[in-house]
Amino acid sequence: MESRLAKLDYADLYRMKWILGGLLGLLSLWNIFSLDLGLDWMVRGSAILMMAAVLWPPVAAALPAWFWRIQTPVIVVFVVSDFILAGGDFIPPLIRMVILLALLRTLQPRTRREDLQLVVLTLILVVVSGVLTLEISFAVQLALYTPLVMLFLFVVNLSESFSPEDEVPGEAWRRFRWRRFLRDVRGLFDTRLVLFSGVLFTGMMLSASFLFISLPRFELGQTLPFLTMQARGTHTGFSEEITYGDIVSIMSDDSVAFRADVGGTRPRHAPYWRMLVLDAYTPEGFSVSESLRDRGRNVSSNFVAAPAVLRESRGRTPWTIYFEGGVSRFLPFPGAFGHLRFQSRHDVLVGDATGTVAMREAPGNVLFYQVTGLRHTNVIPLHEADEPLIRAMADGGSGGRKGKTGYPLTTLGLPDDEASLRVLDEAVAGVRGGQTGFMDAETFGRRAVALLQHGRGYSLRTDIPEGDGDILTRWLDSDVAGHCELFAGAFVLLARRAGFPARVVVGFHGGDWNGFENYFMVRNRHAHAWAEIFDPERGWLHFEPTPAGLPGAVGQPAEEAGTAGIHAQADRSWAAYMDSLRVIWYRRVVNFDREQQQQLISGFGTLVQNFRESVAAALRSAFSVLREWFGGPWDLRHVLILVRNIAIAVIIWVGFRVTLRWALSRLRFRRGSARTRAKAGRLLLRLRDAAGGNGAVGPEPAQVGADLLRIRYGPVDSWPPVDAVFRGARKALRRAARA
Amino acid sequence: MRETPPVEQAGAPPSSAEPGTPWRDPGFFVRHRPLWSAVRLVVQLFKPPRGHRTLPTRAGAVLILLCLGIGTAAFNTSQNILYIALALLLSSLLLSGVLSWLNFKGCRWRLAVSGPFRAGESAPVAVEVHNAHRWLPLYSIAFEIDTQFSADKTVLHLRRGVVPGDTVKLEWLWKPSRRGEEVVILRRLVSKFPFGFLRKSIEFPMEHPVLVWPAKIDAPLTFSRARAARPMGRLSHRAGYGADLRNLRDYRPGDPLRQIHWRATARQGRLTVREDFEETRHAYVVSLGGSARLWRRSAQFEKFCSFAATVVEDLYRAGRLQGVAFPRKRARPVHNLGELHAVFDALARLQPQDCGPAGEQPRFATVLTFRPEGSESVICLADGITIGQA
Repeated sequence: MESRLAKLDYADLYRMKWILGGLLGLLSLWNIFSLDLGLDWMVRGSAILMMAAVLWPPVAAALPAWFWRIQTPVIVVFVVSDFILAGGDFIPPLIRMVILLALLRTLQPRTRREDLQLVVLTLILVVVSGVLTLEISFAVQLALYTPLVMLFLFVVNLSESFSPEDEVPGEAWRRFRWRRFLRDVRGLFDTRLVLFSGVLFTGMMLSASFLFISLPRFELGQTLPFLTMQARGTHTGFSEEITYGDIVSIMSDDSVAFRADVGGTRPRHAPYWRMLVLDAYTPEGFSVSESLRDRGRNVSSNFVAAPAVLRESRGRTPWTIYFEGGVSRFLPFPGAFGHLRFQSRHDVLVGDATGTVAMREAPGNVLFYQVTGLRHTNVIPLHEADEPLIRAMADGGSGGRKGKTGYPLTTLGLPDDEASLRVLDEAVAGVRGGQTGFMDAETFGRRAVALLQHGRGYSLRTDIPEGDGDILTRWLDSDVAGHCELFAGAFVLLARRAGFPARVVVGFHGGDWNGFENYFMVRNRHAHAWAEIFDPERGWLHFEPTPAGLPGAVGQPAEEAGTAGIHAQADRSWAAYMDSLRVIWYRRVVNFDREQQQQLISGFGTLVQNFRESVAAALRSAFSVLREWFGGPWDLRHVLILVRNIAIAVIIWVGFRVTLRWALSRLRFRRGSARTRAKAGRLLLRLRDAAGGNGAVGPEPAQVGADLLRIRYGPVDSWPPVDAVFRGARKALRRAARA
Repeated sequence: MRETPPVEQAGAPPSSAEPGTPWRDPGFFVRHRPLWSAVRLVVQLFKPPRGHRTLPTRAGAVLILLCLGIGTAAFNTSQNILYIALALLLSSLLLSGVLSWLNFKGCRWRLAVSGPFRAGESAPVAVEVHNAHRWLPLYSIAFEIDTQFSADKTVLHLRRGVVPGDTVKLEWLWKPSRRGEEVVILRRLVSKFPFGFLRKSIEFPMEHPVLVWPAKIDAPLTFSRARAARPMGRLSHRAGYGADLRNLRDYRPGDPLRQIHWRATARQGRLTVREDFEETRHAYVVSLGGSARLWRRSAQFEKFCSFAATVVEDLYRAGRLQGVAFPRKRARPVHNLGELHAVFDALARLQPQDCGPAGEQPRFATVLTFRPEGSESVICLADGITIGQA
């Protein structure tokens, strides 16, 4: 190690610097890959070029001079035009600019200034991509990036000691061979040095963790505009206009749509994650009426309170949702809630009448929010917006027609063709079963569900007969199997025809229960549609018209609704384990807030207080024993005991000191000590025996032997580093033993 | 700053025969008391010792700006990713400080100044650096050296790592511009170790006085004119091979056998050899005497000193220097290098006010004297005849 360290010249440092710089550039692109910003071509191209610069340094060095001359004006033109063409969305051009600059810095021969520029550019890429993705891969990226950038800065700092004349000649790269380079680099690292570096790195990570925990969290509420990323498009079909088959197409996707942290206790029922309430009927499907959309309340905050009637806190445990980016702009909720809290300020549209919340745009990265005051029932309470419905029902309003004026009367909308209405009338008569008097919404719903499920199976593929009328009524008129959209839609039409306002609700049902960290993994295949029917006394009752073992939750408390929809067995697969790591990352790091900080601090304070109290109690007890003992009658026996105890204490103390010194002396060989000389002599003999055994001594053992001889017999001033020589001797002995 | 512990102690640098200053260390640990040292270290974090300075470099300033920017963004958005980045940046600054401290802690250094120094000629001034760590290499330390009177200064960089227990020498080729007493000063240690964020320096006056001999100048002497004026050869007092006996002495290994004086050997019972006067060369005495009034111009006096030193050296090299006579002092013989260096030392210190009449000179020697010529030149005379000019 010594000789290689001493031989490290500017060319070696330059090579290391070059390769480390390339690796930094490559590493900084890692998370950019997962950004949905339309940068794929650029990121891939940059990664390939950076890899080429790392693997074949002479290629990059051979770029013509004119390339470097024209690069500045070309970059300026590109960046300016990119920003202009991007309109107001400045994130993609900003990232493109940083990638481009980092790429050029990776490819070009760098001075110290350009090395530092590369560090800053790659750091920007790492932080920005981390902020935009919030993925656990950021932690891995950071854990790799940090030591790499430190090594890079270390090498840059070492190379600064050389004068500007020490330029690397072109031949330095022409003579470059990877195998030799790696061997030389390996030779630089001593085991103890690597261990020491590991300890330092761990210490730095610990101090960073301490700082992360202890840095004060202020609620500035994003008063300054900051990076927020919108998805270029939603991955799923959840939108305000859902045509038949959209939900089914979402179900073909097995990726995770969101994760729900429900406080660790597995709920007994499978939650229905409400995202979107569709009130308006159209022949193509249900949609959100314009009037319902207009009723939305615009909120720009990190805190949303539901209307007073919903704020009656029922569930104390907050549920935290980690909503994947690009899924939808409508947020899933497991029922009516009291309060909603985001990590930072967001612009949202709150539908108080429906208990839904929509972002302005679909978030491009993971969105965290916490809901409190959850009502674990399948009833959405009455809202002042529902009053027209109560009046309409009191007036004895029966089946409405398409074109009813604004919400909530849109929940009475029906097809306007006679064929459809005839089918619906027949079905409603079937539901009533000849009963002509008043029938409450719940009873009607139960009967309607029974009618729909009677003799009709569940299938994602349906073959609806051709004919006149609405698609739902045609399906209702047949006995072919159907999927959730058809069941829910048909249920709503039946209810409306019977005079009950009803609406379709879409979202997710159930989810996979992660057995490692106890949370829901709700995948796109859990997408679902169901129905809500209006009861003027209770509100909107949840109904599940779809068969296939799903519960017909008809307004009763969720606790009674069974556990269907959640996989009976908790998922403990490898994929679930990897997913649980992500949730740990979300819980402990990304979602760490002032509340958790205060809990942590108060917990630590309690711990310290308990420790202090226990120590104080132990001291008090010891003092009282001593006081009692010293206060006792002093006779010869008493004095002898005191002397004995003092002697024992002194012996223990001296023994401790001697042992400590001995242990410390074992750890190092002091220059000039007789023990060191004796040790050198022993090693010398063993080395000679070993050399005699295999008949030959290589040049390295010969050098070690000479060094040992010097330590054994030579003056102390002439000694080489003792530990290094002993280490070399032991290595040589091991090699000889293997031979 | 304290003196280096004795060699027997762990981490002590090796003793060096080369003249220079004693070994120094950064003074982080006092008498190897870990507890007291730790307390002292904590105090030093808030009140650095005298001469210790830590300033951010340009990279450090960028890092601090980045910290501010990321911190502002973190507080603004409550984004924990930004808090992580901020915490890591702050930790890297902390780690940088710890590593820098560790690096300095193992460093021992001294000025090794052996000389000789001569005006106008380069000679090495070295800083010896010892790594007192047991297993950590020493990296990236620079030493700022300058001198008291001349404008020469340099920064010596420790370009390669120093392995534990090893000592390296960093050399500066110093070219003094003037003769006389000078002081080489090791001003400070500077290090940007490990990442170049902070520039830590330890400032202290580590001084070593040196004597700079007069410059050697190009002024050939024409001895033929002097010999023509005084044709009779003067016997040199130098030992050599000649006809006249100079001395009898004990045999030393290497003496030629033909020089053994067999009669004396038989008489004394041990090998005795004869030494003769070397008679084939002319020998000269250089007289530095003269009235102080002659050397009113300092530039001319400096030229006189350089001329005299050149003449003395040339004559010594040619084996023709019998002695040197300083003002008011008896001519001193110059037989060996030590005596020659003593003459140079005296010439380095010679001032115009020291001038005066020459002391007693050998009777049969050819005396070389100097005097100013015009406003700038200096001439050398042998028995009154000009034999050279500078």
